[in-house]
Amino acid sequence: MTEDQIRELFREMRDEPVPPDSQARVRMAVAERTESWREKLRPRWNRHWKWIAAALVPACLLLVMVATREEKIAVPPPVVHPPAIAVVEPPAEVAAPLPPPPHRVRRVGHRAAKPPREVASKGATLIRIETPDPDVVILLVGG
Amino acid sequence: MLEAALMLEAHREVSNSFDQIVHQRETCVLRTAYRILGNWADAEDVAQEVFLRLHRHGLTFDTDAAFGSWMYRVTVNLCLDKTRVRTTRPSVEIPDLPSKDLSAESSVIRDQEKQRLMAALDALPPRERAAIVLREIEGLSTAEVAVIMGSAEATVRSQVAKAIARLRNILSREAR
Repeated sequence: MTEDQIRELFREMRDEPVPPDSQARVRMAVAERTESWREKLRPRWNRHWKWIAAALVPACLLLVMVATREEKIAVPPPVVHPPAIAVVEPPAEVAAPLPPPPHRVRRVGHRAAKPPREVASKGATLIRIETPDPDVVILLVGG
Repeated sequence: MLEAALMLEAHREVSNSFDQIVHQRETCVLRTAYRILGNWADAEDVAQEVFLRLHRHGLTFDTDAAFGSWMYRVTVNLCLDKTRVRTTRPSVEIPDLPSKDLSAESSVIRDQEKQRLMAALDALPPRERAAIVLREIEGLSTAEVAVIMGSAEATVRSQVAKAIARLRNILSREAR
């Protein structure tokens, strides 16, 4: 088959009729689907969704703003009370002043006195010489 | 009340115009889809989808050519999607050569030749098939086919030339 023959056959195919039952099936299916409420709404939605969105977005923003503002208004303002003037009545009897609390004095533990040395107790003589300076005492221990 | 009646009337007008479009274009859409896909059941599915898309989007076109171009583009794209989904390619069985018997009616011979050509067409890669269907069967110009298929005119020319060469090969191989 030559190229021209192929092209000629294609040209003939152009005019071939489409089976009528195929056409009818397509028509019916399209009609059925376009009649459903979803398909009815869809074209309108597809055409107008931009406008709907353009209207809804500012409306929502406004709603949010109003809602937050109302919340602010709903919070009761802090009540400022007038300064209370206390009427202080003089006491009928002047109570005796309480004794001041005793000062807590920390007791410093004294060291236990050391027992005298054994050296002294073994019959050793102890001579105590006191100097004019009261802080200086000379002790002489003899055997 | 009046507004509702007007809206209903407008809807009816839209519906009527849509029905008219379906009536006018269904042959063209079905035929193109059938030539690309090779069977009527798939072609019907594609045609339904094309018209539903048109209905959903409620598109308006400035010119008839623009509308035709959109319709062909959607048809071809849906057909190519369908061929991609097909996991197995239908086996191509080229019918026997028409008998050379002179007594046989010429129309029968012609029909057989067309069947062979259709079977050979099915063996082509999908894009080449689409290009040759639009260019040779639908009779569109190369520029129009290029717009529909979203490719360059040179590509379309090359696809058509390759497709015809392949068809000649397939048919001559069978003739031997």
